[in-house]
Order: sequence, then structure tokens, then C-alpha cells
Amino acid sequence: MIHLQDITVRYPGVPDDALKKINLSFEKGEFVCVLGRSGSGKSTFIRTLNGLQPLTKGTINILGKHLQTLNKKEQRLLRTNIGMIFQHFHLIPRLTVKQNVLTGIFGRKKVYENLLGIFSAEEKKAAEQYLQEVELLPFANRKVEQLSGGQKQRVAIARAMVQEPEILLGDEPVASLDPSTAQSIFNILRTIHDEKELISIINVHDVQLAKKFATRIIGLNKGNLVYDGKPEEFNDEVYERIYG
Amino acid sequence: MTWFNKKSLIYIVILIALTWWSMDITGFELEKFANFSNMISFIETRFLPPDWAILPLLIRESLITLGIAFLGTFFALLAAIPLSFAAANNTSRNNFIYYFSRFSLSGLRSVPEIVFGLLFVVVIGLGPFAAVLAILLHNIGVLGKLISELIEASDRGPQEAMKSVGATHGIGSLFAIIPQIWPNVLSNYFYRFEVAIRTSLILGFVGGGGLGQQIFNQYQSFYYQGMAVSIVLIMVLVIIVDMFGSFVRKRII
Repeated sequence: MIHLQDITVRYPGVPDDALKKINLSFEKGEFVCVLGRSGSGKSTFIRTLNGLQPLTKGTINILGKHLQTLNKKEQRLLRTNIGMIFQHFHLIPRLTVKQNVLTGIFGRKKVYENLLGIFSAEEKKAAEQYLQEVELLPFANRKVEQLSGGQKQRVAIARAMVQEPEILLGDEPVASLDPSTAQSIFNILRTIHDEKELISIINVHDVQLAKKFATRIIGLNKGNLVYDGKPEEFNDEVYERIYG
Repeated sequence: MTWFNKKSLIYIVILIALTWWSMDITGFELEKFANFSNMISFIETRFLPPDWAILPLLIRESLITLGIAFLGTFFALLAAIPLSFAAANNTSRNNFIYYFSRFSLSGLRSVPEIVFGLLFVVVIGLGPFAAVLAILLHNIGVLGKLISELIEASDRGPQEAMKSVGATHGIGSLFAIIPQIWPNVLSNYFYRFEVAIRTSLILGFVGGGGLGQQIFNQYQSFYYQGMAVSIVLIMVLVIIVDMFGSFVRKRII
């Protein structure tokens, strides 16, 4: 459902490519963790998958569509099928937890409905259902500023899930959280992933988390794909290849 | 001279030279303060006691002044918010819109209210409406610039999140940015509202109505005891607006 062919990304003014001719495919049900040092191209890789970062070369076929041939509106519509969570949560300040979750369906609604906050009973129910799933329903009417980091990330997960996506991307979603909270966030992600049979691709720094939760691990080093395999095959030699 | 290097000493010399030159060109003479006691006695004899009998009339005029300032700045805020999104480099659609908006805001800001006031008094006639338009146009320029700078300094993360859920550029920008900058927008608005009260007084001098016109009439007819009441009312108005602004900001923040 996602096919990447020779994808290369170079940032303006930077002599080296951030991603170098990556070829990969991802199928439904795969929970992929992307490992690599800071600056290895992990974030660029994730952001490229939903068009937040344009490609320099190569092609991406995602959910049957060639990303680089889509116009802005088509890209926007494609993104409604791709949930994304970020390291720093990127919630909307001053809005409540539930209002933040509802912003996840902005892409599917008319401009005036978004402006006036017109949501159907089903949409509100879906938001509450996902808040229940991340155990935040009692906090639905709280302002997001009043939440802890872990709670904020759970709101961000609910926001991504209310999109009813087929793909879930995570750009280091647990990098700002303590190990125990990180573990619980990964638990939630994996549970939702299994329920919905998503393609989940998550950047992570913690090798143990990746080995515990992923069905597949990808390793990047200086923009090169240096590992693509099962977690149980991840050994010291692979570690050296990725982090050495 | 631990705290000063050669460069800072040069700046100090330049500053002193500029101050001396400005004092010379403006006729700034400290000897004139020798007659300061005359000014005090002039105020004591001519302004005091204030003539409180005209208070009801002046309260009515104060409300007109308040109306001029509110309407001018509120409409300016409504116009400035969309313009400021067009004039901010992180939300503007393209370079043409960006530079055109910035140029327009600079243009409006560079024309003082008094000049707009003189123009509108001639074009649409004497009265508060001319003052409202003058304050409105100048403040679109001022608020537009201030808000566009807030937009440029806002955290881009929520904008990226809105883009990633497939929201349109406009909706994404609006929802990701307005909640972040709202307290500062209100802060700037209330400051401009306070300034607009003082400006509407000046506009009253050229026929813009309100308390300013009363002060001008009182001054021209040497009715200083009435002027004293007007000055007290101005101070009360500005203090009330300042307190109200602080109250609203506290509630929002």
C-alpha cells in the first residue's frame, strides 16, 4: 500500500542528501519502527511520506496514488487518510481536549463548518470514543495546557485516530516523554494499530521499544537505508550499522 | 572601563551629539524653566476651581469620544486580522500578496490620523464619523503590522499538525495561529484603543466632534475652568480603558 522508489531528498543549500535513493514497500498491518541517530534522515523520511517534505527525486505511491503527481487539493485529501503524531504534540493551545481531537477531521469538512465548529453527533461521538480509548474522556473539557506531556501525546493520538486513517505516522512521538510514559504510549499505538489494521511507521530513539513493539525495523544512517528486517534479527552488528 | 569598549564609546559620543543638535534646533533652553512658577500660578488662577456645572454635557461628549475610539479601532482590528495573515511571511499565499499587503499596511500607517481627519472632514463633513474613519484607516496599518509580526513569531508546530490532517491553508493558519497570539492581539488592541481616545481628542480640534471639540471650543473662548473638567474626564476615560484592558487580558491569559 506504500511503495517508495529511489526517493531522494536534499534541502536547499545543503550539499549532502538527507535521504539517498531509498526503496521500500509497506503493507497493511505492519508496525514499523524507524531507528537512526539524530540527523540520520528519520524525520525527513516520515515527513516525506505524507508530503510535508517534498521529494527531490524518486516516486512515492501511497494508497494507490502517486504523491508527486497530486495537486495541492488532492494531497490535502490524501492526508485525511494519514494520521500523524509529532514529538512536541503540536496541539492547538486554548482549545479543549475534545476540540483538539475534532480538529483531526478538519480535512473532511467544509470551511464554514470548521469555522463555526459544526460537527455531527457521530463525529462528536467518535471523538469521545477515541478519548475513551486513550483514557482521557474525563479530561474532554479541559484546556490542553493543563495536561502532562504523556496526556498531550494521547490527545494527539486521538486526533490522528478520529481521522479514521489507513496509515499512522509518528515523528519521534515519545522522545519528550519519560520511559514509563513512552512505554504506555507505545502500548496504545500498538493496540489501536492492531484493532484498525493500519500501516504504522514510527520514528523512535529507543531500540528496546522498537524491538518490543515493531513487526519490522528500518535503520537509517546518514540518509542511507542500512537495515530492513525483523526485530528478532536485530543484533549488535545491525546496531553498529545504524549507530556506528 | 570593563563595561565599555571603543565601539560603545563611539555610540555614546554620537548620542550626545544628536541630543545637543536636537536641543539647538528645537530651541530647548533650560533657562525657560525659571518661569515655571508663572505656569503654576496661571493654572491655579485660571483653571481652578473646575466648573463642574458643565459635567453632564461633557459626559455626553466623552461617550462620543469613547464611541469614536471603540468603533475606529474595532473595525480596524476586524480588517487588520485577515490583512495581517496576508502580510506575514509564514502564512501569505505568495510573494505578490505578501509585498502588496505589507506595502498597503505601511501606507496606511504612515499617514497620521490628523491628516486623514482633515481629509474626511472636508469630504464627508464635520462630526464624529470623520474621526471614526481617520482612526480606522491609520489603525488598520498599525494593528496589521503588529499582528503580522505576532503571526511570524508563532510556533509553526500546530500549523504543521493542521496541514497533516488535511485542513485547508486558511483554516489551518487560523486555528493554529489565532489561539496562540490572541492574548497579545488583545493587548495590542487595548493599547491602540487607549491611544485612539487621545487621538480622537486631537481630531476634535479639526471638527471631529466629541470631547476634543469641546476642549478646542473651551480653549478658544478662554473657558479654562471648563477645560479643567474636560482634562479630568480624559484621565478618567484612559484609566477606565486601561483597567478594562487589564481585566480582559487576565481573563484570557
